[in-house]
Formats: sequence, C-alpha cells, structure tokens
Amino acid sequence: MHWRMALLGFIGLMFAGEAPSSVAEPAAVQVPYRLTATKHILVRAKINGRGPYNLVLDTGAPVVVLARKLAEPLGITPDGGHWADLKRLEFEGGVVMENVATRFDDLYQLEGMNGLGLAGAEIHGLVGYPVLARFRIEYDFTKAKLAWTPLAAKPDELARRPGGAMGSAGLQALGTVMKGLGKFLGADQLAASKPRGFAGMSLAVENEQLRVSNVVAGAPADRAGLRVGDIVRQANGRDVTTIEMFGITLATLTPAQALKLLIVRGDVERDVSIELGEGF
Amino acid sequence: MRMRFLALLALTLVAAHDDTKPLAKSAKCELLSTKHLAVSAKINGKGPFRLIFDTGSPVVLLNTKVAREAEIAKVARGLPKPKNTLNGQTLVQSIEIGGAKADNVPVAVFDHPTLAAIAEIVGPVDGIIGYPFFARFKTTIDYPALQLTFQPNGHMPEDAIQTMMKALMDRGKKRTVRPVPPVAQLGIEVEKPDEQPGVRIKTVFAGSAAATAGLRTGDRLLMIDGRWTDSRADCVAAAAEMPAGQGVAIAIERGQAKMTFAVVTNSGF
Repeated sequence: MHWRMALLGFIGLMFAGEAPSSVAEPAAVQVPYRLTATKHILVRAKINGRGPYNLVLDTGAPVVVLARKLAEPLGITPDGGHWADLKRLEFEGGVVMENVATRFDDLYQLEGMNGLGLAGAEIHGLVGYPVLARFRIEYDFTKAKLAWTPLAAKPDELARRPGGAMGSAGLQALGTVMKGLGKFLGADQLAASKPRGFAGMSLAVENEQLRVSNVVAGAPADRAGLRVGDIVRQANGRDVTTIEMFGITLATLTPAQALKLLIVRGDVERDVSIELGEGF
Repeated sequence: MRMRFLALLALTLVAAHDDTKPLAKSAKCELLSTKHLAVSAKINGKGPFRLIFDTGSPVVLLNTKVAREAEIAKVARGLPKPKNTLNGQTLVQSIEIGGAKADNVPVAVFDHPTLAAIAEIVGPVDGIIGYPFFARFKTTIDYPALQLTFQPNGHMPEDAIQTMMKALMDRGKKRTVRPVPPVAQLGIEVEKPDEQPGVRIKTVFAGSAAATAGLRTGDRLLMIDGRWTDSRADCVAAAAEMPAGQGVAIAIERGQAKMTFAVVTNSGF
C-alpha cells in the first residue's frame, strides 16, 4: 500500500507561503495535452527555445518545478542550487510566458514514475500555481485540447525557500528505490511511438467492397502499381471489408515494412506489395 | 411590443439551451497559504470536509477521520465492489462539491503525512480531490474568482491504479506500435536535417492536399493544427489528430517568412 501511494505521489503537495488577486480577459488559447497511463495531464513546453519538455499540470504544486538535470542543457545555474527564472516558457498551442520563477529539483514521485516507465513519456517537471493561476483553464477529457484563457491578475508567489527539502527524507528514499527497481526490470526506456507507414492511397466502400478511390502520384502505393478502381480484398493476409479494418492493419506497420494487398482488377486477382514510406 | 418579443425570444433561447446541455455547477474554493486550492465537499452526504483540489493527483484520497464520519466502510458494503480490490481503494456512494455530484467514486483511505504537515500550516485538511472526480466533468478552474465550475460531459474516467497496474504487468512484453488511426492525409514527406524548430518538407506529392494548398518542397513545417512538429514522430502524432476532409492550419516558414495555410486534408492512408 505504502509504495503505491508514494508512486501515485499526489505530485506536488509541498512548500508554504501567501494570498490571491483580481480579473480581466482575451480569447482562449487551445493547448494540446495528453493524459498519461498514470492519469497525469501532460503538456509540452519549450524553455528558452529548447525542448519540447513534458510537464504535468498540477494545482497541487505551489511552484513550477523542473528536473535538475535540465539546468545544464538549458544553460541555467540556479541560485542556491535550486531557483532560477526561465526567460521564456512557451506551451504548445501558443501560450508564452516570460521570467517564470522555477525550482530545479528532483522529485521522488517523478523519478519513480520515470524509472518505471509508467507514464509512457518522460516527465520533466510540474506546472504549478504561479503559472496556472494566470489562466482560467478548462479541463475536458472529451476534447483534444485544453482552453486556457489568460487573466490579467498576477498571482502572488510563494516566498522562495533556498535549499529547502521537498517532502520527507523517507519518501525521497522511496522514490530512489522505485527508480532502481525500474532499471532492474529494464523499464527505463520509455515507450516511443513509432511513425506509422504511409501508402498514399484512399479507399471508399462500394457494394460492400473496398475500392481504391485515390492514389497519390509518386507515393508508395503508386510505385507499387496500385490503381484507382482496384478492389482490395485482403491486407497482410486478413480479409478487409471496412475502412476501419484496413486502418487497423495499417496502424501496426511502420515505414519500410510491406503492406501486402490482395486486389481484384477487372476479373483478375493480383498481389500488390507496397513498401510503406514516411509520408503522412 | 418589439421589446417584449425580443425578451420572449431570449427566454426561449435560454430554455432551449437548458434542455440541450446539463447544467454547470459552480463551487467556491479557497486559496491556502501553501498555494493549494481547497474545496468543501460532502462524502456520502456527510460533511462538509475541507479537501485539496489537485489536478496532479490520480486518486481521491480521504483520511481515516473522513472515513469514519462518512461511514465509508459501511456504505461501501452496499455498493458494487471495485473491480480490483488489491489496490486498497474502496467506493464512496457520492462526492458532492457545490452541487456537482459524482456517484460511486473510487477513493483511497489513508492518513498521508504530507497532508498532515499542510494541515499544521493551514488548519484541517482531510484529503485530496483528484482525477476520479474532476475527470467526470468539464472542469474550469478560475483562480482570481476562486471558483471551480463543473459541467457534466459524459466522460467516465478509467481507474488510474488499475491502468497503472496493467501497465506494470504489460512491461517486458513486446511493445506494440501505437495504433495511430491513419484517416487524414496531407501528402508530404519530411526530414530533420538540423536542430532548428520544425522539420523540412522534402516531398510534396503531386495532386495531394498539401500540393493543392500550395505547400512546397523546402518549406519548414512548424505546426500542424497548433501542435509542434519538431520531429517526424511529432508530425505523425499531430497528423493522427487531423480531421479528414476539413481545413487544418499548417504553419510553415519559407525563407524568412512565416505563413499559415489552411489545408483541406484527404481521407486516406
């Protein structure tokens, strides 16, 4: 039970400080996000033009936190080893902030999750109160983006606490154990989604058959000899009768792999082998 | 007369609006001196309890005091069993925050030392409201107004602990390629020749959606529909989100000029 609670880490929940301010308003910016397997809300951000880095939106974090190992590649030397202002923090979708006070630290929760490869992406830090309080943010997991409406109010920030430890030493130690375990299990390499293969063809359903409705000139399907009007019967040995089924077969194939089609042209069955490309 | 008609029309519109969308419920929250948001919540109709509202928490956590007062164990006996009882979670019949109510919500009961430490600074805090509650709504957080708004959106969140346990079990198994649904097509190939933002378009296929819209070989592709395209993997992930047959904003750099094209995608693979 204990380790699981530590693993879930109510990421954030640390530090102490002061109170709020007032309102105004332009249009909402649409920020793409991804929900991890651990149910953390991940957005991408570039810092001083570098990245993108994966950050968790966390109202439980009173500050913005970045992993310590990012300081060096970002060319930042934090004060007292922990604090620095980020000159430019740009979130994917078009939110740009300047001079954002940030704490560089190693959080046991992040190390635990990264070590076990649980989130499905490396998490580089947390976006907490000083950023979140400057927007009205709509979290709607039925949508592909979050709406961030900039607000005029500038939140009071927590007083910096040079050096201060985050969480108890005991919990910190637990994070390290989790990370060690992840390495032992060979889980430290994080899942990278491979690009799918590109054929350059379109399909339409006609008389319950899949008919090739378009072939992009010069694309892999064209080079393999596929023509508009061909009827696709099988893809990699599986009968396909719907565009969805065809899509599922193709989704598992990466560039340079072969998509083998059994087609009918005129009254003749033929095999067409498409060497998938990298287009999209 | 005209005024009355307009007023009537407005009323009708308001009524129609009410019919189509479940009502959003608002709740006041407080900003604690630790910069955490706290809400007042009823659990199983008991309380209210003061809980931290935490978008970074995959669970709802309640301390043993709440468990006692809300009779969590007793009430849980009358509820359907959570699928995975190994994980130490139990169900509560309801969590209510300012009129927004979620039924049968998984919670973890635990006296967390960090919460106790926060309570020493800000007064009683009895738990954390996390993903299992707020993911059921379109949740809007407005800090200056100290207001949370919850609009039911039909989303039924998966249980974080179960998905994590599954992810743990599946580790070591051969990783399957993420099944990106290939439905919309631009008709370009890209390359990453350097470390500058974006990727270089190395091919624009003749007759493709990209060619029709005016994209050219050598253009630097910066964004697809507001998503960065700094690598080929980024491009494919962003392309997978494109709607087929609709206009998608494609941001490029051509020479020194930054431009945005509305490219109507083809449906294809």
